[in-house]
Amino acid sequence: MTYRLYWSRGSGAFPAAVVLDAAGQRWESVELSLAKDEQHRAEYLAINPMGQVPALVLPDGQVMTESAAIAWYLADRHPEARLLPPRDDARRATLLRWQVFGAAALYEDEVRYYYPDRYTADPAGTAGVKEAGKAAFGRHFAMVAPQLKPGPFLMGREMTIVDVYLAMLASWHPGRPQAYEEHPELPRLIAAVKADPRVAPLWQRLGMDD
Amino acid sequence: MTFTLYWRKRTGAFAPAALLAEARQRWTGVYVDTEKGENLTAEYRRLNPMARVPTLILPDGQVMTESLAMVLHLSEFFEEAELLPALGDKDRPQALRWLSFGAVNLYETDLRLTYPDRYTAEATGAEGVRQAARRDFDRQWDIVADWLGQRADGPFFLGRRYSALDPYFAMLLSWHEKPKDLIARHPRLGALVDATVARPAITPLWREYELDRDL
Repeated sequence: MTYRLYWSRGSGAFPAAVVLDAAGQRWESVELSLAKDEQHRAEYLAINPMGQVPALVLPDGQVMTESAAIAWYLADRHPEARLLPPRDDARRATLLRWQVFGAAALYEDEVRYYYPDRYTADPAGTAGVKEAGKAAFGRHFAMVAPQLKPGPFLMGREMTIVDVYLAMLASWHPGRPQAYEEHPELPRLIAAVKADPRVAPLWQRLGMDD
Repeated sequence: MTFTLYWRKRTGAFAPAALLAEARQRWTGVYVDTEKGENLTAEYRRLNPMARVPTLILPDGQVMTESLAMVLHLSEFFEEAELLPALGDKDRPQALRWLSFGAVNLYETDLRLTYPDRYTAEATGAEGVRQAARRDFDRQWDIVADWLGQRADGPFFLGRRYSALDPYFAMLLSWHEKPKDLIARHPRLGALVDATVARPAITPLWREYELDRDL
């Protein structure tokens, strides 16, 4: 049995795919089209009742959801991918902090901006949610930027899965290109992540520039 | 050196406090009264730019924010306390999945319910945000309860085995507007809370954090 990753173009499945490839794991690829709303079909809801991408089926048949949990779990499970320092490395605390910040704050902000209707029961209220989401995303990424000095990664020259996750989020920044000019650490992070040979082919294949 | 936890009653600070207590650690508590704006001072913002409670200072001086990150780190740091299934344990993927689900979905949805004005730029937008959050909160709890229901054994999240998931979900449940209604709908959640609060390390903290207020 191998891993099976449910993904869609330009989605939070990306970091999981990076770890699997970097670890030399074969994985079965199931692409969902969000344009066709395939994530809300009954057979997918049976896998992920939230109707969100990604979902990962492990070799033993267990289902995992939540992009950050999947990325962190895989990077730990496959140390050969060299995307997380080992367990006795004290820097893992800081990495965990920004991993969770990425998932709980930045990712959520981004969903508010791109899918504002999910966040209000008032059909006239979407513009306000969108605007607040954009503002929060900018404010929250401004908190990450100082952590990327001297950079280009959180841990300097050593790329971890958290950098891959943050680069994905930064590439979705609704305030770009202005925000990139204000915080050059962000485009520098994206460029450094994309330049990693473990990442470059997947960035294209999983539609991260779409 | 010891841990310093910036905390306030009824906040996510309960989650790291519960793990420190389970690991039999002493820590220094610093109360941050958000009603008096003590989280908005420049001094506190230097530690926690989000101006949120909790913040945890590790013995080596690292500053942590994000209660879930603290839970994961403390579980790793105090490995011998077995607060999370170890790497390679078959329960670990589900433990990480549902902790993350709790932080990203339930915790965030509670913030939308409590502070709906933060989620809209329109002066009249808060009510729509609150209604959507109330709908989502119930749906997300249903998803958790469905998953728990597929695992017949209890009372804890991972069955008979107590873990960091239990105080985390008990805390999230205590924040529900009507936790008793939620428990009536999903008795399995009530059993989890009861068994968790009965633990000697948790009982006094649960009261100190006033999580028993609506239960």
